[in-house]
Amino acid sequence: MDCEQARGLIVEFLYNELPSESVSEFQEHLAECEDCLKYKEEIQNTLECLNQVEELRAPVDLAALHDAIDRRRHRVGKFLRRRWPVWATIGVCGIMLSIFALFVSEIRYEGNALTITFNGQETDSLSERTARVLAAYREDQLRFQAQLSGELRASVAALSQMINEYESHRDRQIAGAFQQMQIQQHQTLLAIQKELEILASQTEDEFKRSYLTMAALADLQ
Amino acid sequence: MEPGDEELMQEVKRGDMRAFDVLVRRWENQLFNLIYKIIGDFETAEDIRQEVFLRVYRAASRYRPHSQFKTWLYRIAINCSINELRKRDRRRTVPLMMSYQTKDGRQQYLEDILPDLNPQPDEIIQRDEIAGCIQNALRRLPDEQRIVIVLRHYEGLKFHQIASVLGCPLGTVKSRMHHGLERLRMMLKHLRWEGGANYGL
Repeated sequence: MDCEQARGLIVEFLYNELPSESVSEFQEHLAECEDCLKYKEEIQNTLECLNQVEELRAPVDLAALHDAIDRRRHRVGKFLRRRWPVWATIGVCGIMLSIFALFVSEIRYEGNALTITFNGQETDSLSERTARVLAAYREDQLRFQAQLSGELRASVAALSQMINEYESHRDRQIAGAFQQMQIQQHQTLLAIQKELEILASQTEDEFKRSYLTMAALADLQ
Repeated sequence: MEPGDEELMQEVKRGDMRAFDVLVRRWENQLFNLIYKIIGDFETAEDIRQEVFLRVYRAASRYRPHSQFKTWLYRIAINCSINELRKRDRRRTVPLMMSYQTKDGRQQYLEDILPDLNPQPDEIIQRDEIAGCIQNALRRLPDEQRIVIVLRHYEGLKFHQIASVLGCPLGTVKSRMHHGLERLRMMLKHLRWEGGANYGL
């Protein structure tokens, strides 16, 4: 056994934890080596020194300890109490969902339509409601178009009559310079009539196009 | 004959608070001294002891009588103390445990060369001051060395029990003990006190 090994065993030796087979070898080394013997005594004195620390007395406050145990036991309850608004909201939502679930017998999602059935009675799907709104709109437009085109056609008819009257009386009543003016007026009236006819037919076309757009929209829905 | 700790724990498991109180009274001082020597602060040691007893109560249902109560209790106490020491380490800004290698190959700890509260070599101190000096020297040890010394010297745990409490190899425990005592020897060698033996070496 060399000095390093012996010094490594001092602690175990001093606490009587050195295996008996090593004790005699250790003691033999100390008997021969003065340095290690001195070192062992120094460590022994250090341990003696440590014994000078007196043990303190510090009794536990049992009531406080019991309180702490109770507090910790109720920590879950406290957690629930502290967050009561959250739990209340979750509770109310849960109750509402349960009531809703009581009356709903079927929820179906087909294509783009969500259909909810309340105890066997099917409610309108979204596309059906859209189609109804569009139909009402189409009806309004048709009525407006009929009224407008009727008025336009009445104006065109009145103008035609005026033009015919001019043509039949032109030679008899007006001559010379007035005749030219008559012709111009006639042409202007003809142009107006033409424009009005175009406007009437365009209005019809425009309405037709808008029906088609609406219908396409309804189909998409 | 008084019931053993393991039997009392069985009672605590069944919710018997009186059995718990008996256990508390039986271990209160020993546990306090253990924690106080590791932490070095009276009030914190009391708080940690309270935490240890709380954990004992809560963990009673998981306690298995095959493990020795003392080892089990000390494991909880050491874990709580280590948590506290780590918290302190995080707060500490200057590492006092810094060390460097001296010319002759020794490890010199920075803290050991700073002015300390220990008496000078030729100073003879009062007997009641000794405890303070030793406590101070213990405090200056690295935590892992101090814990091993406290468990072995003051609590009388065998090295293999300490290894079990700390969950580390037996060789590590012995080496920490050896290095810790070596440092204490250096710090305490000049200590002499009135009416007592001269430990100056």
